[in-house]
Amino acid sequence: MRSTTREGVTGLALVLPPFFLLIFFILVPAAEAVLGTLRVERSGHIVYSLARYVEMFHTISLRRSVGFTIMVTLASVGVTFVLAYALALYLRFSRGWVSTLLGALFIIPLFIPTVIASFAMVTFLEHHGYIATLLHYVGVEDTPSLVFNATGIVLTEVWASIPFATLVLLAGLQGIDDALIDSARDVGAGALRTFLAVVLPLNAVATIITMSLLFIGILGSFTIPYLVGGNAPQMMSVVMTNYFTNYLRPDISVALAALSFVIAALAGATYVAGVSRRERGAV
Amino acid sequence: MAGLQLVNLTKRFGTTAAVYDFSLDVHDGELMCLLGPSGCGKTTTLRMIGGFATPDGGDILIEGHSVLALPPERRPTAMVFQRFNLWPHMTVTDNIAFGLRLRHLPPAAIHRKVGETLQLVGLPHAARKWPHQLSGGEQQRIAVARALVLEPKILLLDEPFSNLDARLRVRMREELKTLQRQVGITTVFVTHDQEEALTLADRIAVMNKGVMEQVDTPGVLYRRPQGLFVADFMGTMNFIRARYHRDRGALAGGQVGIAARGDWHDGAVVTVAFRPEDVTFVDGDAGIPVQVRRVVNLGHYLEVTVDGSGVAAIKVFTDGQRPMAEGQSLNIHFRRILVYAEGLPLAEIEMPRLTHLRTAEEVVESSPSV
Amino acid sequence: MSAVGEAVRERVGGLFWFWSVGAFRRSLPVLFLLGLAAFILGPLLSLILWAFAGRWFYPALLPQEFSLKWWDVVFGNRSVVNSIKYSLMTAPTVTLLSALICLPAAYAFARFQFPGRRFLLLSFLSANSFPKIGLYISIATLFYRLHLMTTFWGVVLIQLMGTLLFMIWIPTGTFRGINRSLEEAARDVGASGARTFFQITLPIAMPGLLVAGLFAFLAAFDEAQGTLIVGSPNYITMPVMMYTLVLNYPQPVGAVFSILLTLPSLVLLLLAQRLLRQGYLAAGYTL
Repeated sequence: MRSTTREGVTGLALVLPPFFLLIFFILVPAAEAVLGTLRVERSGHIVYSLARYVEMFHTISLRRSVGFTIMVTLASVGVTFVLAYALALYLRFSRGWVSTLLGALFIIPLFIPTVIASFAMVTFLEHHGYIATLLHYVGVEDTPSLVFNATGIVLTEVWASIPFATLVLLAGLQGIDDALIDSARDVGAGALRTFLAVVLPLNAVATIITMSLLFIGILGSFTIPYLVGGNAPQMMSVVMTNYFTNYLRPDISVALAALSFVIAALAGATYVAGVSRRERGAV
Repeated sequence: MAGLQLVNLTKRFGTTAAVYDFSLDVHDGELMCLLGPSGCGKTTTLRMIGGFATPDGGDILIEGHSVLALPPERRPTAMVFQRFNLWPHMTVTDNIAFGLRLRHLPPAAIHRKVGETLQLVGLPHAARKWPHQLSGGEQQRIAVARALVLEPKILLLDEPFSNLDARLRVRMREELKTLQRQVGITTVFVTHDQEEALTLADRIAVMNKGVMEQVDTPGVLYRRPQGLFVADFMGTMNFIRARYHRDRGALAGGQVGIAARGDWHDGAVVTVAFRPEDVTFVDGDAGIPVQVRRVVNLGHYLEVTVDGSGVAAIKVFTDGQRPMAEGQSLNIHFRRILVYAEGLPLAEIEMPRLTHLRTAEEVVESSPSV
Repeated sequence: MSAVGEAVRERVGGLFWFWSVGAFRRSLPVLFLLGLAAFILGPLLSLILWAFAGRWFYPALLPQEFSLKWWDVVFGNRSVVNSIKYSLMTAPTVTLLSALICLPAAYAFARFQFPGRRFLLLSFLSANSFPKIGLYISIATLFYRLHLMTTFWGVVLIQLMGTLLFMIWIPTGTFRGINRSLEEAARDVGASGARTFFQITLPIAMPGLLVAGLFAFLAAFDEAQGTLIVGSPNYITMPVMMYTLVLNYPQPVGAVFSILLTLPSLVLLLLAQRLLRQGYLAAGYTL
């Protein structure tokens, strides 16, 4: 009995240093900031109210920004997920030179800082950028704009997210024993059937982790929408910065941050729920 | 004086007791097997001896002193695990020398001891190899070497051969037995394979659901298993349920009547048990008529499954002198039976007198209902 | 299956006629490879061309004039060179510091049982979930009070926060994957808990820990928002510098700087490929 309490104390002691860092430099400042958004001045007194959030809700541009952010995030997560899953499946179940090349290829964006990725995407997709040049040679002119809008943001986010998503999904797939696949095919299931009935469910944990972490990351990303996005509507992170630096309304800036955090927390809750239910040993 | 004493050990996981009130004396220099089905608590007990699990109750004494307060690194025990023994990032020599270096032995002495121990386990040329270069059996032998080089008081083995293939397992068993005799170290060996226990052990402690069933030498355990669990677990055993009729001095099961007198209550239901090698085929009208259902040729003997006379499949071992075919009708006789009854000691009957209960009413009124 | 379902299935199935054509099916992976390669490498190639472009006007497929003049511009700019220096100073420091603080915690998460374990492990997700911009004021105020604003250690600290998630979660998984009996065997022959950790656990865990270190380094190296708040104007790192270059200078300048900014990452990429391919699936790993 004593050794288990000793273990508990040692465990907590080892874990506390990074946790204290987290508290003092993220959680406390964040809480302070959010509390600040709830303080409103009314006739000389400071009261707590949701007035700021109401004001935000009534501002059309802000409403559109929130909606836009969620749409873009969902679209990016969706496209990334499909591509990454296809990649992960191929890498898991095939051998050969195509597999090796794909394996080396998909990880490249991981090593390119987001700033550079955004810049590269802009030069690639812009009005007289490389894609336009190539299309010109094929005889195609006047393509719809691929950058400084939602499309550009989604393309860049997908570009940057493929490595992480593929790695997590691949790790999950590698945990599925070949025997489980073989026995499904043995009883007559085709490729699609096997995927839907065996692979997808068994890889559910990795899927949930990927989707929620992707969602949280893309929702809060700043650099890519800042450099690749258009003027309106804009992602929340860009709007936040504008309210802080240009409109000098830091309070709205923080309120938007709080809202962004709440949305991210919901995604995080999905992650927790998914992992806890499926595999308690995973976390 | 016992080398190792386990006194009323209890270990709970949640609300279930994995080990309950378990006591055992292991004599100095003895090879004791903890035997039982998976989940019976044998590995938990072993880990408690090694210091990797803390008992919720009871004590562990080595040479008369309690070691309960000592962490694993200070107990005079050495453990060989089922898998993942050798550290993959060290050579064989470094693996074995690790413990010696901790004790600050001079390099010359370490070198000598490593060489001697490698000789002892029959792998004198493995010194510079890496674990992944060795076969499964060789890895386990190095694990044993690493344990022995520290000259512990107690050697603990947790099913070390269960991951090896069958023939290798048999060879490793023999080698371990020879080695243990040679070194003379008190050893506790955990296994679920009763054949392994019978081959290796000086004594066997049979465990079931966290509790001690019986501890005895292999011979006694085989010949006189004290409870139904041990009777069924050790080797192959045939069972017939029978009812005791005091007035007729007989046990009746199916159409089989066995002359017997004992302390059982009149009308009590008992279990009659007998080994396949104690069943003989007789000529003529004597004995119980049965039919051959299946014949399996095991090389040096036949395993014949028979049924009839109201009893289900009985296994018989026979030397194959007599021709056997499926469907054949034969008569059988028992050379020795054991009788198990709730709350009463084991009864043993040599050469019991058997009668075939022919008439329907004899059968109905005599036998326990199915 | 309902009649409607059947009809839909047939329609959709009709679209996949080419699936049955063997040659087409076989070429699909190659097409996928080419498409992905174009998508991933295209932007990078375009950037590399720009870095060496003297003059490049649409619709030329290649620059009309190749030149290294933009490289002189970049290296001639003192603040640019300084940013390189600062990045190379902060990122390794952050990674080492992060390892020192987080690895023991990761080991505790992997091996020990203590109350609130799950909650604490998950809480590190929050470090990456709250937008940094929203923390501007609070962090600025806090750092002012602690005299950390525009200091080297202030920048290190803010970059450290972004690495916590990787340095805890990945090593926790790695330590978990090491079979317990390897550690118990060490205890059994007399090694204390600490010695077992340093001489047995750590060496076996090294590949996973290096991967974690890789992610942490990249996170620190790539960090821009926090460094912008805390570091400017004294400690501008490369990502922060990049914003200015992208927005205020000609295309080639940004391209040149991008290549410089990517170099450390590329070196790590080559090292990582060796690690990931080697696999190091020694006997110690349970999958």
